[in-house]
Amino acid sequence: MTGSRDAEFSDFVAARETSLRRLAFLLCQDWHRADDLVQAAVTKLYVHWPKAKAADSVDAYVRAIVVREFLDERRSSWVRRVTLTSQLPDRPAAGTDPETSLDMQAAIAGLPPRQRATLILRFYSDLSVEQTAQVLGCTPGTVKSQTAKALTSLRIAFSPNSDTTRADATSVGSSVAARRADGEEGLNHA
Amino acid sequence: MREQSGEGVPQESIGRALHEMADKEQPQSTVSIQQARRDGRARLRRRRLMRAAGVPVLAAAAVSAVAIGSISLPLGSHAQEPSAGTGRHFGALAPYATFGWLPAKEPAAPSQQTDLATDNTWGTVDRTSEQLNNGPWTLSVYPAGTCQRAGNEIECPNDNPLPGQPNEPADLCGSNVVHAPPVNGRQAFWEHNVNQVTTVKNGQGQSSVSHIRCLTWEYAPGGWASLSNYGVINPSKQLVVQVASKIRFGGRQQSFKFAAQFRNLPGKWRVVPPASFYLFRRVGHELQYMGVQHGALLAQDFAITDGATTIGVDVNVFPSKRTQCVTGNPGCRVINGYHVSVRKLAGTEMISAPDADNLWVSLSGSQQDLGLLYRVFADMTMLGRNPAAWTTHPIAAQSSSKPLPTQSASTSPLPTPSASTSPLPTPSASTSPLATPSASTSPLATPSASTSPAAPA
Repeated sequence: MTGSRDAEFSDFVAARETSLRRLAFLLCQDWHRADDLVQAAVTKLYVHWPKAKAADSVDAYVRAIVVREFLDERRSSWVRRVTLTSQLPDRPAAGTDPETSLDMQAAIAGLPPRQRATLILRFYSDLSVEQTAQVLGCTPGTVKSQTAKALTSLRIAFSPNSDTTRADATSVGSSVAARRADGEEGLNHA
Repeated sequence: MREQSGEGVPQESIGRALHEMADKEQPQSTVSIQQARRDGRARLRRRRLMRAAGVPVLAAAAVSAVAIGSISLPLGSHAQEPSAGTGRHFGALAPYATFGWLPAKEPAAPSQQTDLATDNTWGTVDRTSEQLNNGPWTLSVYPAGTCQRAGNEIECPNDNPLPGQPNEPADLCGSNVVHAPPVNGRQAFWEHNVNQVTTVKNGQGQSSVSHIRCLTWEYAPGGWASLSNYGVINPSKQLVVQVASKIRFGGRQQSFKFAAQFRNLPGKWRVVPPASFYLFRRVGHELQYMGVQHGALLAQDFAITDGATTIGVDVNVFPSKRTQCVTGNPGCRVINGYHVSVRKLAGTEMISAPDADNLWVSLSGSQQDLGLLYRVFADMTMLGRNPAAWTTHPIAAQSSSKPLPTQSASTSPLPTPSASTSPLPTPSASTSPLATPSASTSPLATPSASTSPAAPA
């Protein structure tokens, strides 16, 4: 019984370790922390393995654990969260504007944890609003508003006048972002 | 294909940047499958021991935490207070709690201030919790009797458990808490976290520190709330306590407004959580998200039910002007005078109108309710983007002139011909007898509150 559980679990984690580490790294921006996150997540996965197997998708299940582990961590033991370095990527992909790419990556890294997690799930993991809501444990409306806020923040980061205040952005920018995240979402998947 | 806009940030750029970040060369992994199995088995053993000893699961979690020696016990040895009003739930027609006062300006960065009067106010109401956000402030509220004190944690129900996982409780303010001064005479606790934040300046990421100060307090016997500030500038404890002490619970809160009204629903339908709401104000011809000022709290996502069937509703004030959905296209049809697309999402059917009188409207339900969704949409009245026309009664009194079919007839996958040829309803204030002027009914912030000086730093 335990042997079967261990074998299945080990096979699954071995196959998914790389993608889980990438997701964790995007969330926390630090490979060492990413490994800690994945370690904690797969331990929880082991505890809940029978339920995970019974779920529609084990991948979705463990992804949700990683994201929630990351968000929960931000609310606990503060010492571990203060990292002293923030390394910028050194090699953007071909065909992209390197400066824009670096700025974008830094801007994404600067988003609040929940907004960053929302963007990563939506635009890296390609989850729908509903799937993202399920992972984050919130309503689809919250996902939309978090997406809108994140896009507004990125828009501010890329605006010509970087001193633009949030107040300026929220009245107009969030409307644009919200329309992008909410109103036009409906037909993008149609 | 996601939208790419010249305005703002193209979403493809975000996806590309994320993939570039993730695809960088990875250092050697330190993840140990064997360690995970060992630790996992140890946890399972502890659980079995606790169950054998008859210790409740919540207490077991606390004991496990203490066993690894990482958590203090600042809540002391107070006996757990009796819960009052067990079984209470929040409604979906008005928020249970609102900010009574917030500082007019909030430091957003060393050289910046954000104006909370114009920052977004939005929130969610779940069955057993409510959350309200304005600027860096987030308020979470739980009804009396729903949270439990367990060791050094205050554990509250989780409305959104992991799929297939038992409903494990959520911790208010985390677990590293210390005693705080009483709030309005009731016990309170602090947690103070520090986050690393990377800001962009001249193309370079610069690390700085953000502070999360979280205050948990018992706002009524057995009822718990937490107030967090996710700002870059660490707010003073006095400021946090001042904001918390002014929060209004229950009583006469501003009702949600609804930008569409359901008519001719059969039986007794009601609005139920979860619901998301946003504060809007009309400025000229535009709607703007608003902060702690007069405005209308629009219920954007909510659900209606008759007890047997539940329909999810999304009425968004930002319509789409995209035109892919035209008559004749697969999955597109005209109902109630509006172009509507039909699609299946995660096992549910969803019909949506990208531009229904300047609203984006969708209804979702189970597959067997698709016919019902068509008929409900056919009888909806869209109230447009003017908050003065919105209603506090989204379900109109029943009319016998056009009864809906019973649920057995709702399996019809197609709308009736009459539905698809219905004339366009005219949204106007006169069609919504229940709408009231928003400004005169907004208790979200009193005039004195909106002119209050900033709290002492």
